[in-house]
Amino acid sequence: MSDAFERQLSEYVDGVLTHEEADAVKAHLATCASCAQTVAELRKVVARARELGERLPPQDLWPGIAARLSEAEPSAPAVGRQSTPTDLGWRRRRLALSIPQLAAAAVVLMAVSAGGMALLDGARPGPGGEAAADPEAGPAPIASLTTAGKSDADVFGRAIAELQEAIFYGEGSLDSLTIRKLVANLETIDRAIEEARRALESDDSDPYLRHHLAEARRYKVRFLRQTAALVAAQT
Amino acid sequence: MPIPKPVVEPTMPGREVSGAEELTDVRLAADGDADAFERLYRRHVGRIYGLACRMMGSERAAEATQDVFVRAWQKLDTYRGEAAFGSWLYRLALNVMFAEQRRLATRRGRFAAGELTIERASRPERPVELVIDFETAIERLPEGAREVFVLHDVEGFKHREIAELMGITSGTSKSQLHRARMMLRAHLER
Repeated sequence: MSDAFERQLSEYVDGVLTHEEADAVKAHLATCASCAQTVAELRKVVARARELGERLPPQDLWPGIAARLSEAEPSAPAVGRQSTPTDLGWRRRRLALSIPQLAAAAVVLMAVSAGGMALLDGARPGPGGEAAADPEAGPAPIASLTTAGKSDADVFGRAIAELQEAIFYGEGSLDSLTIRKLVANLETIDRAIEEARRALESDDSDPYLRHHLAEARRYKVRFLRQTAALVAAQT
Repeated sequence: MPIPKPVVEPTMPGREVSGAEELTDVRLAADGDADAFERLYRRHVGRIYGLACRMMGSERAAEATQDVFVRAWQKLDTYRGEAAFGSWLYRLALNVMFAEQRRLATRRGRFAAGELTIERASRPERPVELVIDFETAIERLPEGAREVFVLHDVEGFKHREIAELMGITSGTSKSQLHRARMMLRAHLER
């Protein structure tokens, strides 16, 4: 097989060579059995590739997707109507919390935060909400948020979700411009959390990633706490 | 390695869905209707999962497919109905998969144009298999060659489009395609 021609055989098969180039390859094929054989095989590869169709996953992926949708609400649709910034985010969870309820949610978050902060770092909170810190142990796997200490993490996650909803659905609690800015900030924080979470899924032994994820979650809590304080101050 | 038989069938296998029906589901999904989004998922998962297997390898295909649909859910507001939803979803899938490839490439400190990924190179030697099927052979192609082959020969993109998508030149795309085809010749089913 001639290297000079061999490199052109795929383009010859695809019919994208110039007339002159194609004629030269064709003339070569008449005298080179090896290149002629290669062309025949390349044509089979191309034909086989075109036969490849859809593939269905061996397991249903929908339950996993559905579980993630609740954390990733769609933004307002462009089909059929214009979206508005205040539509973004959590608009579909219709809650009508009163200002007192909102203030209560803020208190819940503040109360749970002492233990929650420890959870974010992977440590179990001790009695009274104090973290059972062990400086020699190093950071525990983030998996502890969903396995060991699951109930605590769930409580903490629910508190965050409730406050988040309360902030954005508390009746007349915040003006639309403020909400828009808060939504943008929260989306940035959530993106950082999601990216760190996904990176950890591929390498859960990376201490930097674990720290980064905990830091991002801690930042979200601080942000929500400050927002809650802002809302409470307006009551 | 044979392709495992799917245990899940699409909701309506083989059923053609009208553009209006599809658009209705998109609108419902954009308004937060998860059932409508599930219908969209069932209709399109075969194509997206197939693309993911070939672009990312079957080991990462399920996760990549989930990422695509979650991303689609988040990005429904950018779909304006000008193209078929399937085309929009497919383009989004490519973006998600390329972004993931770039992320992994950056994270692992290898060059995008590398011949073999560190991941692949560092795996224990696979047992020698005298016969592997064509799909598996595609998955085992070097990354750049695999992506170009899938986009060109399976999905029908032009070299110019592939160059734009992958950030390479048309010449590189042609070289990678030829390389992939030459490697795949040995794995044609007899």
